[in-house]
Formats: sequence, C-alpha cells, structure tokens
Amino acid sequence: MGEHGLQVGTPDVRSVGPITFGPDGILFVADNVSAMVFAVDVADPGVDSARSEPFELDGVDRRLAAFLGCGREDVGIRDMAVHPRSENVYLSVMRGRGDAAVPVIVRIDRGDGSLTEVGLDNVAFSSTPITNAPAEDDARVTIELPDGDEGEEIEVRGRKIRIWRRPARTATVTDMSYVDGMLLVAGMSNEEFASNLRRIPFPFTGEMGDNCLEIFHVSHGKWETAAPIKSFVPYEKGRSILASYTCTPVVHFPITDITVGTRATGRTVADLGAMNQPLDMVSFSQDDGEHLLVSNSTHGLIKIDCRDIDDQPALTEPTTPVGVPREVEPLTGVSRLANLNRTHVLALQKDDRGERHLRSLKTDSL
Amino acid sequence: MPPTLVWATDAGVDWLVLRGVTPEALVRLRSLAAEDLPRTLPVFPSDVLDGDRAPAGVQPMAGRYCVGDADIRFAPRFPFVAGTAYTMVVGAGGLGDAEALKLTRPPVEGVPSTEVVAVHPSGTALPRNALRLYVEFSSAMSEGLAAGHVHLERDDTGESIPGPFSQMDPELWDPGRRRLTVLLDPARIKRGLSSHREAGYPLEQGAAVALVVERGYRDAGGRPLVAGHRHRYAVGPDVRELVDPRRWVLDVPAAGGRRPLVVGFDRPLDRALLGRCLSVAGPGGEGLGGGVAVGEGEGSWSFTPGWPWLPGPHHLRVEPVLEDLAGNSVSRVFDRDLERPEHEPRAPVSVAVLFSVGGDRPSPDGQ
Repeated sequence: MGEHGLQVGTPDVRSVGPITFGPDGILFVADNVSAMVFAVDVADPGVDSARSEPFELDGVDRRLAAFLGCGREDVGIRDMAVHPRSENVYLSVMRGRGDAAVPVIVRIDRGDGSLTEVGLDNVAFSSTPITNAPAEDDARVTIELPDGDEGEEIEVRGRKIRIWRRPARTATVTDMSYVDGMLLVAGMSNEEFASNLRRIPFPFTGEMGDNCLEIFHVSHGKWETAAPIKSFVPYEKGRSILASYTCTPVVHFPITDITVGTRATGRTVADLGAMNQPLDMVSFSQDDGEHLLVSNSTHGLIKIDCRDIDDQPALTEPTTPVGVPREVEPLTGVSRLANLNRTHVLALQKDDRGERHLRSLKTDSL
Repeated sequence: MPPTLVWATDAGVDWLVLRGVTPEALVRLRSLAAEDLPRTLPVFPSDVLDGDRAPAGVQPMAGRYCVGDADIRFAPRFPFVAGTAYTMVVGAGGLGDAEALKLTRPPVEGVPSTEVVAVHPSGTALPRNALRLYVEFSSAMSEGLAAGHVHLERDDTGESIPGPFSQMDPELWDPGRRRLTVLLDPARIKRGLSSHREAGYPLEQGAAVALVVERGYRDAGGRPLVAGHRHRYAVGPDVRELVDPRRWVLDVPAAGGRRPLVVGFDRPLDRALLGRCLSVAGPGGEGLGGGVAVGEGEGSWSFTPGWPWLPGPHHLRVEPVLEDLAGNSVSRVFDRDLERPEHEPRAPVSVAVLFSVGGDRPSPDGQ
C-alpha cells in the first residue's frame, strides 16, 4: 500500500458518511464530523470473484441491530459500497445517537451473509481535509464568551477573559466517486447555498488546493442556479458526470473540460418529477451500451441510456415528462445502489413494513 | 436460585452477568471453545427476537464472554444503549427451564437542560422564497432526529405545512452540533421545476407560519429539551435581487473615539454568513480588530474597534457569498432570470464599501 501513500496507524474516524472504493480495494470514508476523508486499506479477506450470481440478504436493519447491539432505530445506514474484487458488501453505519454514537464500517460476506466489523485500529490509511474551514486564528470565526471553561483565555486591556473560537461553517459530503487518480467529492455547506465539486488527487498530498468546481445549471432556458450536488455518477470512463441536485434537476457536465476558476454551466437533461429527489446513481452496461440507474425518494428506479444524454438538448420547456428518455422500473423503496458485478446491481430496498433488504437487480432485465 | 441476569461494571467495562448457574454447568460451559459461547448463550437486543427465540440466521451481538467461577459475563463490542432491553437466549445452555432471560439498561438519567436559544432569521417576517433557517441550541444535539422534531405549521390553525423542507439527510450542523441548518425545499422555490409548478412555494404569501421545535427533540445526552420552541413569521413577497452593498446606510463615527460603525441593510441578511462575511480595514488597508454585533432581525451590523478610529479612508469588506434570506448573494441571484440584465452575476470577489472617518459625510461606493 506504500504506492498509495498509506501508513499504518489508527485513523481518528469520528463519523462515517459516504463511502466508495478506490484502487486496490482502498475504501474512501467521508467523516463529516471531523471534516476529513480517510483512505483505508480494508484488507478484505475475500477471494477475487468473477461471479455473475446475485446476492440477497433479508432484514438488513434487524441483522445490524442484532450485531451492533442496539435498537433498529439506532442503526443509521449512511452508505453502501461493494468491494470490486471480492463482491463483499460494505456499509457505513452510525450506531446510536449523540454522545453515544459510534461510527462503524460493516462488511457483509457475499458468500454466507455474515457480518464483521472492519477494524480501524492499526490499519494502513491516509487522510485529507474536506473543508475550507477557517483557521483557528482567523478573525472571521464565530467568537463566543463561553459559560464554562471551554475555549482559551486572552488578555484585553489588562482584563483576562475567556473566549471560544468556533468555526461554525462545515462542509458535509453528500457523495464521492473515484476516477483515475482523482477522488471527486460533492458537498453541501451549512451556510451558503453553493455548488461545490472538489477534485482531490489520490494519493493524498495533504493539500486541497483550489481544485473546487462550481457548476451552474439552467432550468428551462430561463433560470440559472448554482446548487449543492446531492448525488452523482461518473460515466464514459470518467469523462462525464451526471449529477442530481437538492433542487432535483439532473445535470450533465464534462469533468475533463472544466478548469478551476472558470464559470461552468452544466446541461440540465431531466427533471425527475415533483416532490421527488434522486438518491443514488450507478452506471452499468447493457446491450453494449452504458446506462445509468437512478434511485428516487418518490418514484421507482429510473434507467437512462447514456447515448440519450448526449443527444438531449438542454431543457427549455416545462413539459412532462421532462427531458431525456427514461424507463421507470416498478421497484420502489430503493435508496442505495452499487455495482455488484458485471451482471447485477445491488440495491438497498425498503419494503412496505419499513424493513430494508439487499436485492440484486439483473442488469439484463432492467 | 434460577439463572438471572444483572448488570455489572468492572474496570470501566459494562457486563451483562448471568448468575445462578450451577457449578456443573459452569464447568461444562468453560470447556467450550470461544466461538461456541455466542452460539450457546447468544445475546440480542430484545426487539430483534422472535418471541423468546433467537431469530434464524441472525448473528447475535458482537462481544466477548468470560466464564468465571460463579457466573458468566458478556461484554459487548459496542456499549449497551440506555433504555434498551437485552435478551440472553439460554435454551441451548442446559441451564434450566428458561428459554430466554431479559434485562433492560437503565434509562438516561438527569433532568432536561438543553433549550433552543435562538432561531434565525430572528425577525418576524420571511419572504415567500425564504431558503434557510437556523435553530441554535444551548448544548450539542443528537443527529438524525431533525425531520421528526422540527416542522412548520400555520400559525392560526396549528395545521402542519406538508413537505416544506429539503430532505434532512444528511443533516447540516455546525461542528459542535449546536446549530442546525434547515433548508426550505429549493425545488419548490426555484422557478420552472416540476416541484415548483405542481406543489408551489413551501410558504404562502400573506400567511402567518410558525417554526416549531418539539420538546421531544433529544440532545447529545439523550435527554429531551427543557421546552419546545415556536417562532412566528409573517410571509411577505419574494425577494429576487443581488445583495447590493451600495444600498446600505453607514453610520460612520468620528475619529478619536470608539463609537461603533453601524451598517444598516436594505433587507435582512443571513445570520450565519454575517458572522464571517464582513470586516473593516483602516487607512493603510490593514484589517481592524474589534467587536462585531448583528442587529435586531439581522437588519444591521456594527463594528466597535479595539482602538480609537483614525481619520482617513476606511473600507468595509464584503465577501461575495453573503446572502439574504432567500439565498441571493452579492455575486448572484438564487435563481436568476437570464433575461434580466440586473440579474447578471458579479465576479465572485469581495466588494469594498468606502467610507471616510473624520467628519466627512459617508460615501459608500462599490469597487
């Protein structure tokens, strides 16, 4: 793992959010509490797989609650990823709440469905900050006069007072993908409304630089917004991005042509419906063509042919259905999606009783 | 004595202890391999069980067992959760008639002490296209509960307003988990989108609404709030224009004193961004240290220098991301109309508002 700049130690992971696999089975883990992304060698014990079988597991919440020793309401599944070689399933889970919350990466063996905790003690890892949070000595941080002994004591005109410098701004990672030596990180600010897509070279150099893209998008040729990206998927070998936003449009932009500091406008290719938010996306091959699968908060799964995205002009008319041709699969309740293997997409699906299960969707049948 | 469960704490470790086991059974259990104990005496959170039986195919709690001279102890890999019931399924252990034994962790102790200390905007009016609200708490809160404990309702009827907020997944907090950011659904605010056309704005112009924070919202220690909180707003017309510092009114102090510079805005601005987007520079261009305060209803901002004002030109530096209540910033309108030239975005660079200290009339001018 030396070639990826990893060193053995114990990462101070304080929370787990979005996860995605990078080269050689390295798992990227976004920690939104400490505002870091960790790259962890998960030392997956599985064997290389060239399988084409599905993987199903019922009652994921119940299994996690039992294994983690808590009520089902204390199991917060934050994301899902599949190891690219062994096809073992990884879940980032916050177990419990508040001061009692514990971040856990759980591995589900795709052979027998058994659960194990991915240990984070003495592992090969590296990390990078994900926020441009103000420095401790930045005068623009929020300064409070604490009630207790928090903060620091300073002297002002002979008087000693205690102040607490509190950087209040955070960047919350909403999605991540790895493409050819670059980790793409989408995030939301808890203050300004902005569209930020960071490109972080991997191996991490420890510097964020200014490699942060702001992507505008236009609705119906009339109104333009720069909004936070909620979910995205690279396709065409990483040359293009399809992104969904907190304000729901689905936008295409070429990742390779955009340079930092220039104004970039994505092409709005679809509006997936009222009171609906796209939740996750994957790309998969079918009939020698690349397709995208989108899970939604309200609608079923939506399949889009990538060739249609290229052919889709920017939306100009508010008609329904809006934008690029798509097929709606009669499969609702799917939140997370991940590629299981060449023939199946893995879906985390909630049933009518609120129980979540892992289901394999045969790509030929989508 | 039949087998019973009790809690014990030893060297900082919480144990679930099985007592009342016969010496013969202890000898037999001690002879088991370590991996056989979870199968023989599995422990589960009680609500995953099928009656008294271990659910088929479901792994028990991760943890370790210790078979002592008088009892059997289980320490979980992850701490027991306050108020949660746990069951040890003992039927396979040959310990008597009981199939399973159940024991509940003590609930969270202590009286509620956390309260809502502020809601922003702190004024009583919101534009119909308001984008963002903040709720500040006196102590750190638990994550993942906002959607169930923060809502908007009509002030007159108390009727809940359906779906006003963007999905709070992930929730947006400050690092201390004391300030929650709540976004009104931008898809319903942004013109042209399906949600806007079909569901309309989350807020209705002319209506009175209330942001409600429920008492049952749990702080980081698992305790509810001291009291619920309610903040009333009257909903006014949309605001869709750039934040323009040239429209601000500056009350400029005289040189030699430490009277504050007071900046009056033409409309309320975002409370959080006001905390970091304005600063004052002196005649030499150097940043001045001092105290800042945000005025009532976020309609003004003041700066009291640490040292007396020097005569000469000063400037108020405005960061381009500073937004109003509807997400319009110094550099761009939230959803700008491409056909309106006054909506043309500005370069995302800071703006300087010049003013002169020393008796001259203030002369704000954008640069």
